[in-house]
Amino acid sequence: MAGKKRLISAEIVICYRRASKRMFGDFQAERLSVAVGEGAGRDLAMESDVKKIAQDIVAELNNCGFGTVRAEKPTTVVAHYDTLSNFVVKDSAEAVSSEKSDKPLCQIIRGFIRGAYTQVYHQENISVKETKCSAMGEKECVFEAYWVPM
Amino acid sequence: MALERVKTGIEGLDSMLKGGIPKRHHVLFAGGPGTGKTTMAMEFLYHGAQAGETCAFISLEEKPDRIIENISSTFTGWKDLKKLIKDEKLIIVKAEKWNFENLVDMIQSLVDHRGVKRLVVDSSTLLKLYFNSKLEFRRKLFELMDFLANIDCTMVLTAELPTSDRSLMRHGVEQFVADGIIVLYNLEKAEKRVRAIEVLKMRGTDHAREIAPIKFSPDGIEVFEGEKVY
Repeated sequence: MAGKKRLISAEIVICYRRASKRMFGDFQAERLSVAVGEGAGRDLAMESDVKKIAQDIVAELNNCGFGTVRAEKPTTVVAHYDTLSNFVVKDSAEAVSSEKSDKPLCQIIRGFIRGAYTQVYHQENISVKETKCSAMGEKECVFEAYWVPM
Repeated sequence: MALERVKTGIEGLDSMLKGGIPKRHHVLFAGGPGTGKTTMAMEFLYHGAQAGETCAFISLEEKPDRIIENISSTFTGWKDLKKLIKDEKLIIVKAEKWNFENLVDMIQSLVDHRGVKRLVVDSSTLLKLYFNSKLEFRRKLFELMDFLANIDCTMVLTAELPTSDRSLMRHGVEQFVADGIIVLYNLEKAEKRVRAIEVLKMRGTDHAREIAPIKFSPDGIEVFEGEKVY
């Protein structure tokens, strides 16, 4: 599936985000970004499976122009759950297109990863945090995906 | 245009609300410890799920297994509870503590992708602890309510009040932000405790102004509208 077609285009969704921020404010713009990312992530996961979802996420984000993406070994492991990958994004299109910020900005990518994982596992108790963001002066953006223990 | 309403399905309460909670409203179920806020919120979802709506309960504290166990033992007449959960008409999840972003992600995901029409967040008292100041909590709660107002979902937040004594109640931030407040009491009457309910506020609709006694039966909560508590 991944690499065959572009589910979303970084350039277009970033334009939408800027417009929505202007029209509706920060919080609504953030939620719109997460929603766009999550929808696309879920679409990707419909044609993927738990074994190859991490590599499909990487391929799709690279393919859609969100930056140079790689998956990394997770730092958070929850007993009885499959491990979820972390993702590192160099030159994140979301961060590059924004001014310096004091908080992580890459909500589309964050939503995309969460959407893909929640869909492929059919579970809602998955959290994705952007722990480093280049808009905050970091070298790369880092996304940690993990299970919220029930 | 007639106001669209969501029936709680709780006997007597819909009558107090003149037909139910206005659709897409955000309502607070408030009360002292042990007054039945979580139980009543769950009944609101149960009746929605029975009517075919997808409903979700997000817990900030208790584990889903524990919640199901408690509800099953309180309402022994709810024979289809486990089936509704299995069929995902009633979704019970636990959100990550101290992570507001995860909570909002979860709400958005449940509404957008699972088609949730009734949502309960239990409880706003814990949610308050996510923030450093009352101002920040109020701002985030406003943002959350504003965001939820644009989606087709009716939400209940539970809120713990420090006391069941009506005269000692203090209203928190969430009480000012919510569209409606339903208060549950555990009142003292002739050396006994009597459970009661009051609709304190409900924007956009008339509602009963009296406190009514309530009873927990195996099939659910019964509200005795028009009967005296004292």
